[in-house]
Amino acid sequence: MPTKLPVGTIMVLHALARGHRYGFDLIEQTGLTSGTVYPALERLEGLGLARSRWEDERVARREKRPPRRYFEITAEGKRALIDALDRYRALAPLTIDGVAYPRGAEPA
Amino acid sequence: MSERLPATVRAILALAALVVPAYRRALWRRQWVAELEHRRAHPEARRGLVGFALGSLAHASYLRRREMTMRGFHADLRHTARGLLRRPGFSLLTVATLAAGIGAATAIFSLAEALLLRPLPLENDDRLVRIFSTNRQRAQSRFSVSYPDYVDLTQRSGLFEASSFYVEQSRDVSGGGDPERIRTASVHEGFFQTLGSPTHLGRVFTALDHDPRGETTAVLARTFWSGRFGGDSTIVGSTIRLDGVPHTVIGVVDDAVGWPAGVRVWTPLQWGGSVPEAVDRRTNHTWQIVALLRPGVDLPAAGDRLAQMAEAIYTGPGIDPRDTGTSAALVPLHSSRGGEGPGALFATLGIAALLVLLIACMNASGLLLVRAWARGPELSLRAALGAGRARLALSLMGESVVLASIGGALGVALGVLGLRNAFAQAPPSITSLGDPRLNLPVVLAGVGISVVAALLAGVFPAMRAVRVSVAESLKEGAGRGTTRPGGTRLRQGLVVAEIAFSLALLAGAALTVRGFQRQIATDPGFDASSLLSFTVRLPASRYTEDALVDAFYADAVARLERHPGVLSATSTSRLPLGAGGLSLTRAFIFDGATPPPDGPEFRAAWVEVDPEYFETLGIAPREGRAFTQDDSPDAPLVAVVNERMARLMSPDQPIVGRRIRSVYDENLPRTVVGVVADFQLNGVSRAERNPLVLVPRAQSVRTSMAFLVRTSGDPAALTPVVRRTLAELDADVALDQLQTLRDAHAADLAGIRFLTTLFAAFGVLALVMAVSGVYGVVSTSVTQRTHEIGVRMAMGASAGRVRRAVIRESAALAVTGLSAGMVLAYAAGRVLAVGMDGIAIPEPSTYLTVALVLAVSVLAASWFPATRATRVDPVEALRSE
Repeated sequence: MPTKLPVGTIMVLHALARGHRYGFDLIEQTGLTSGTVYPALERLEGLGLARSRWEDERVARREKRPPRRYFEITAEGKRALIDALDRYRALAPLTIDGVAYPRGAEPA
Repeated sequence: MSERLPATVRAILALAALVVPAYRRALWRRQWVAELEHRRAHPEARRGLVGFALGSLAHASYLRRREMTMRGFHADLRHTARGLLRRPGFSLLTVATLAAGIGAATAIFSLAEALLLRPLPLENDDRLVRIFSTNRQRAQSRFSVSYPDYVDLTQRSGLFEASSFYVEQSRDVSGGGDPERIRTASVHEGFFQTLGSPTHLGRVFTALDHDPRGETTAVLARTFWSGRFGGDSTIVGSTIRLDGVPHTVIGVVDDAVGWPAGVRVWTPLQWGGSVPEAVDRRTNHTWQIVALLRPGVDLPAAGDRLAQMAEAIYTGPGIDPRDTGTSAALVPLHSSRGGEGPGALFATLGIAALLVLLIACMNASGLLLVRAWARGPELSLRAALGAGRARLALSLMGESVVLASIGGALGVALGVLGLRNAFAQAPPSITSLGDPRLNLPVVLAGVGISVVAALLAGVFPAMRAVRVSVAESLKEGAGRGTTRPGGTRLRQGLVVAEIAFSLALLAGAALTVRGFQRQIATDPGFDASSLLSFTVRLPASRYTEDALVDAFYADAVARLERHPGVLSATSTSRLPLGAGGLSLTRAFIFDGATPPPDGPEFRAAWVEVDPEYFETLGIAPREGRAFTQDDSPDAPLVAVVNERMARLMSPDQPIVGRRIRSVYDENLPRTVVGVVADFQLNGVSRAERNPLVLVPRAQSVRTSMAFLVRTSGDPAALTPVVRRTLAELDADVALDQLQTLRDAHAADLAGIRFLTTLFAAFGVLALVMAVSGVYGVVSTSVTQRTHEIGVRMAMGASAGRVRRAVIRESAALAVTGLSAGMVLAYAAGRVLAVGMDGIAIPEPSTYLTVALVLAVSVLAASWFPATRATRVDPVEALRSE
């Protein structure tokens, strides 16, 4: 994985992988602020890890709202996500001050 | 659709949209509108809509940053830096100019920060306030508060969680070393609790200490305790004497707070439950108040409320007519530490510093414009190759940003260091106010000022770059044709403005310096050399009878005069030249005249003196007689007035022989027996010679007095003799302010000297910058017109003619700038005259001198480029075509 992604961007990528598609939904899912999510989406798209398309005007008009910009993860994005998750997974398991991580696991 | 979004959200979007690169803007906006509409549709999410919308700013700046990186903004910066290094002269000049401006502004900010803004090290600093009485009719801002006002304003307003008050006085302390005169304060209940200053040792006052039947106690300030008592931790429980009265030390408080400044020992007011009758009067403005606002109370609102309450009280019934117009003011404790003075001082210095900054920016702007012109071919080429206008503007802005950053760093460091250096030599009256430091707020302010400077200096050159026309500039031989390049008019405008502002600043500085010189040069009306002065305060506990007090002064004068080095000595209640003693002003009427408010009253300083006073000071009566030993307590009451008072009270007939009384206090008829010439009683802050009434010391006995000793040689050499003589008389009486009158006067002048020096430094900076600005413009103009000049000379124009043409150009600039500057300078003079004594408004000579200096400097600055123009070789100039 050539580029090191910040954790917020990985969280957004993760949410995209789970099928969430636009800004508001991603914010709800990740718990990040709008000021983090939108730049993260731009960064992902710039790196080719996600792509965006505009919603069909007719659908938007039918639902009486402005058209949305939808995002989806690319194949490269999926690989990058798996790499990133592997790296984070390497941090667990661990015992901190007598508390096991993941919670509930036996202390190592 | 966005019309339906709240105004705040729309404003945020509009702002963010400015940052988004233009080609993305429409789609970006569409995306955000969709998201916001969606979020609005969720009832639970509606509240956070503004916070959500703020994300658009982050989004927009991300896109902008990426845009810049992609297009090589960093490469541009490198290019800028290289370009600046290739022209070290230009770069150094611009950096120096900006450093001077930014340094001046930062220095004044750091002064303001130290004196007004820096919080005190107290837990509730943000809620601690002081309350003052004010009176606009009498032009009095911030004076002490009366007890009834205190009760009404603090306890009945409901605005405060706690409050207390104190009054300062000087007392002689003995115990633990030689007797010493120190600042002390008597505090009401709850003072330390309100202030929240930390107790270092023992305890602070409780209700018991304020009980008149209890023992008298005292609390020491920590610095005083460690200085005088060597930090003795067993001090609690021991006894010190204040004016001879024993006080039991119960604790030591930390005085690192620095407020009230200089108080060494605290004692409790022992009123018990009742308030002394003399205190419970609205006219008795005595107390310094400190109060703790309730949490959540808004300061300005509380201030308005107090002012309303006070105004209601003073327009109500039973108010002395002299008190009409009294109101109240609320000031944060940390900004009140400098007292009344700093306000006017900062207004003046702040404006001066801003002017220096403005001139510096205009100067730098002029230099950058020249640079933009020099870079014209390069910019045209880049424009031809497809660089956007914004990009070219940024490239030039980049130069001003880089220069202002370096200039800012230098300026902030030099400004604060310079100020600290100046502070090291400043008198205690200035240094006790605060300690300017290079701390975070100052650095932030410096950065802010630098950013403003960068924008101010860079905006015109950047605008020029935007107007670069590709075809035209390439066609015209890369902008070096016979016609003048654009921007000349702009640069000339800048120089005119620079000259105008410099004139205003120089005139202000000159007026201040002249005012100062006038005050130094003022003949005090007596021979101030070879005079030694000091003050004493006799312990009231032992000097219980007037006869004892009188005997002490008479004895002291007699013993001093017995010394061979002493020509004469006298005691007086107040020293001349503002050197110390008791400052009393009283209102007089002729005996038998209608008393005020129906009849007129005449205010004059009240000074008690010995018969020897006139001889020691060297002033002989102009009319009538001076005092003699016969003007004893039992003799008829007499007075001597100065000529000013005589003219004021009795302009048409001799005042000698008439009887006057001071209506509000002594109120006994005194026969005027003599008139003396006016002399300077006050210090520099009120240097004009006020009306004066002198009375014999023996007829008005008080325990604290000042002494004047006229010596035959150097007065300073006599200080040990004076100490010894007084110690022989009473070893427990402390001498205070033992110094030559000259030194006392110099110390008094030092504060104003500090201000004047700073101001003069700003003035000189402005002059230097105006001159270099003119030089830059004229010099560039000559370079640009080399070809034209060459042609003229080839056609037979003489060197003198060419020189005159060049100088005429700068003369036109100077005349325009000076005319505009005169108006500004006059306004500046008006402002200064309000804030400072000794400055007369209509002082045409000063204005003319300053204008002349500026004009000559400007013309001199254009002389060199003009001379260069005469050396243009026509052949060379034409060949370069």
